[in-house]
Amino acid sequence: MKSEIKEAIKKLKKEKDAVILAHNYQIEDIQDIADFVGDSYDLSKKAASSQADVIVFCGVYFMAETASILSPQKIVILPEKTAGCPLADTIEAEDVREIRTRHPEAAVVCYVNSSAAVKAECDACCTSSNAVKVVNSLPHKEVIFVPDKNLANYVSLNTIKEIIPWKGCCNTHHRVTIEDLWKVRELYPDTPILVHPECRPEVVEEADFVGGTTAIMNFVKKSCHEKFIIGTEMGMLYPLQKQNPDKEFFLLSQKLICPNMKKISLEQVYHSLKNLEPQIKVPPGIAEKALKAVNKMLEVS
Amino acid sequence: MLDTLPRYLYIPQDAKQEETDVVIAGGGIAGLTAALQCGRHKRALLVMKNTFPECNTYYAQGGIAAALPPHDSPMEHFKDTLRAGNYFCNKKHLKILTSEAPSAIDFLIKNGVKFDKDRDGFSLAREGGHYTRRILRVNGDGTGQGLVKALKKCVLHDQNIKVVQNTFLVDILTKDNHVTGVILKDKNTFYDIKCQAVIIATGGYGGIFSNTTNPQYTTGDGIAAAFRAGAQLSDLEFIQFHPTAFHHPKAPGFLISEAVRGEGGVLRNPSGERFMLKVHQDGELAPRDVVARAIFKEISATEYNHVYLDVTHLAKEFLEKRFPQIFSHCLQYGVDISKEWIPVVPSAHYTIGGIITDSDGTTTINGLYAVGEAACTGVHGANRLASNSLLEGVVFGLRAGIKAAEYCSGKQSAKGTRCLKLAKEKNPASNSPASFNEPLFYKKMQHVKQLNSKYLGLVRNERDLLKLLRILSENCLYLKLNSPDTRFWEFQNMLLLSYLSAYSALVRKESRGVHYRSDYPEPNSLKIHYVADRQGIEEVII
Repeated sequence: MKSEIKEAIKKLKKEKDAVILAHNYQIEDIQDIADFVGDSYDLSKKAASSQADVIVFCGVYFMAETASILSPQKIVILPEKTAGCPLADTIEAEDVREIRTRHPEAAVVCYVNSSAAVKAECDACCTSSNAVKVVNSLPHKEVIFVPDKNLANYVSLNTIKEIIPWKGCCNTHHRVTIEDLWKVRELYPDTPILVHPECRPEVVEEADFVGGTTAIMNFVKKSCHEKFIIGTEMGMLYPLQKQNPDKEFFLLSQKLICPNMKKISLEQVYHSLKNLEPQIKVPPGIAEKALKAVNKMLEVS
Repeated sequence: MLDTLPRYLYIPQDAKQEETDVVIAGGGIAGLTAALQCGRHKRALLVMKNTFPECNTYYAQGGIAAALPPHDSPMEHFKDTLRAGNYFCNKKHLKILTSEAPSAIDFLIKNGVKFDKDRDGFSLAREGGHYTRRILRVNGDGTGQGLVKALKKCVLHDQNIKVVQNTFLVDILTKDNHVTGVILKDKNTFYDIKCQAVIIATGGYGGIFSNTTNPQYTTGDGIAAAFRAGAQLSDLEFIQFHPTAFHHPKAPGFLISEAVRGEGGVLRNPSGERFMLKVHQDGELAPRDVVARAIFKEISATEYNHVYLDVTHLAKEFLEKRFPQIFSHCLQYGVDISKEWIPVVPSAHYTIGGIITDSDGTTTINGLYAVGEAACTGVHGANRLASNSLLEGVVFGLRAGIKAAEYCSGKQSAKGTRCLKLAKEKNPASNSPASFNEPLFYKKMQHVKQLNSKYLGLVRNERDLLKLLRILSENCLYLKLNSPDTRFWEFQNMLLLSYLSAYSALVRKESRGVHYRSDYPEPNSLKIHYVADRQGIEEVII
């Protein structure tokens, strides 16, 4: 049954000249049928450079929006329209305008986990892998960083600039506490703990390595360790294991599961590809402005 | 005990009056950096108790740590330091240290420091505790010399900076908790310097121990002067020891690098027993603190004051090539390491505590700043990571220099009347050569240093610390003798810091980082700092 639907998706994909992009946090079946699996930065680059007419984005809403911003002429499909990002929802365009009036000298950098409307209000966009680079590339001394306060803290540790954080955070990563880390460390004192910068500051400070999913992947590949404790969304264990069959991976905490990332099923991909919906389209006025912020990021990194 | 501590070390009858904006005490990396920064806006007077290049910085063999792009990030440097510091670091200050490290390196380069390079750029070394190569060096192990040489040149060329050498900082003058000046003394003359700000960069107090890798004159003079003036000190019990320094009555503590053990060096007690095998499965390659404590225990249990490092099973050619400095240094003192065991002893290396400051070197006294080893910014936590101390001197030296200059231009600095009233009468005990009995004095000083090494060393316990405190307060702390001799003052400062450090070690009833209590071998669940000022020692929970 599963293999049949996979075959059908493959066939449809050719018919519609579509490319399937899947985030590292997607369920295993979705990762298996995707043309590219990666973090939001890799996928946004793939979306920009793809020759296909249709992009099926297996991720959450803001990612599909970003793909549409980068390729306005293409059809961008998000197989499950309600797959949102609670972090992105912590801030609206109006909030950015308001915080700007309080810090008129500061630049605004938004994490890619934000709506197109928010991106349109910002000077530059970034992902966890290039946040520091982007912030350092701006001439401003002060930088308002939205919406993730934990990533803002991570950036502030790596730059001389004054970072003004927004109050949002990723519920999934924020659930992991320092006590969780201590417990694991006591059980496995010699196993490196690798965490995402969306984790709480104290977790980030005490982990052995901090980085986005691509950085974690690179660390694992190069490392001589055989076992790793992974502090990011559980979906990441799959690509890690796939690319490093000789190594072992453990999840830092069972709390590391993002329900939004698990919403898309093979059936939904099949149907959305067949009907070419639901499509995600960013209004041209907003898309143009947001594109500037996204391009600023692509330029820097 | 502390309430009877005199406010001044010595009140002179006569002092030459002079004026400047900022006085900087100390000619090591922190003082030179702060002076250069002050000199851009204000008149600065740099006071050194020795002559160039004598300072602890000069002897730094390691290097200076900085996370430079593109292969390293301040975050990684931050994490390594935090881990080494047993998660006891002041994170706000540590963030500044690691994120401003690259610009501190730029400052040094602009001021003529030539870091070693290879074809990929800076030649970066790796040291214990750093997860990556991030140590910049000058001429291999000559980093300290290279830094002092370059910065000294800049300081001497600066029209705004006046340098006085062989001059002792006796005391800091204050009025209503504002700095008003300092009392200095050169060979024969006292000076009453009117100034608005003082930057203490006089280093630590490793010299209070008989076994130390610091020069003998490292007696914490600036820290003691700040304490007498009312400043708060903290973390004085955290003293970092190097497990194996060369032990020779005439050789000041020279480090025998841990790499010697890495190459197969074996530790033996005087009866020739390889004692590490009974202590840890990894023997000589056990973690540094385990090795250091085992040596300390071995020494405490015997009549001998050292143990031996045996490399006689290694070929002479190999030793000469692999450890040229160590080989020639030991040979200079009559030990051919290819034939004889090397006498080694754990030695005080770095004092983590000092004058409490904020991120700009500001202390609890208005106009008083502290930087470098003299300061306690909290960046090292409970154990200092290699090559972070030179960095601390530059990063916070730059910040304190700017802040002190700003303070002088501000309204809050004390202006008007001075506070020092010169002594009206000749002090009965002073100035009489007969009262300064040099051999007796020397003996007393050696005695205190030995007591510190024994009771305030690597392994501490309540009984020993109480014993030390009793001896310090009964016999030594405030010698009635009031002499204008700088050696006497150094001794007084040494006594004060020994007392405060032992007291802090006594009240810290836990083991954490470099502070190990055999009667409390585990860390406390609460993180506490012990803060000392003239009122006593207070517990501050963080």
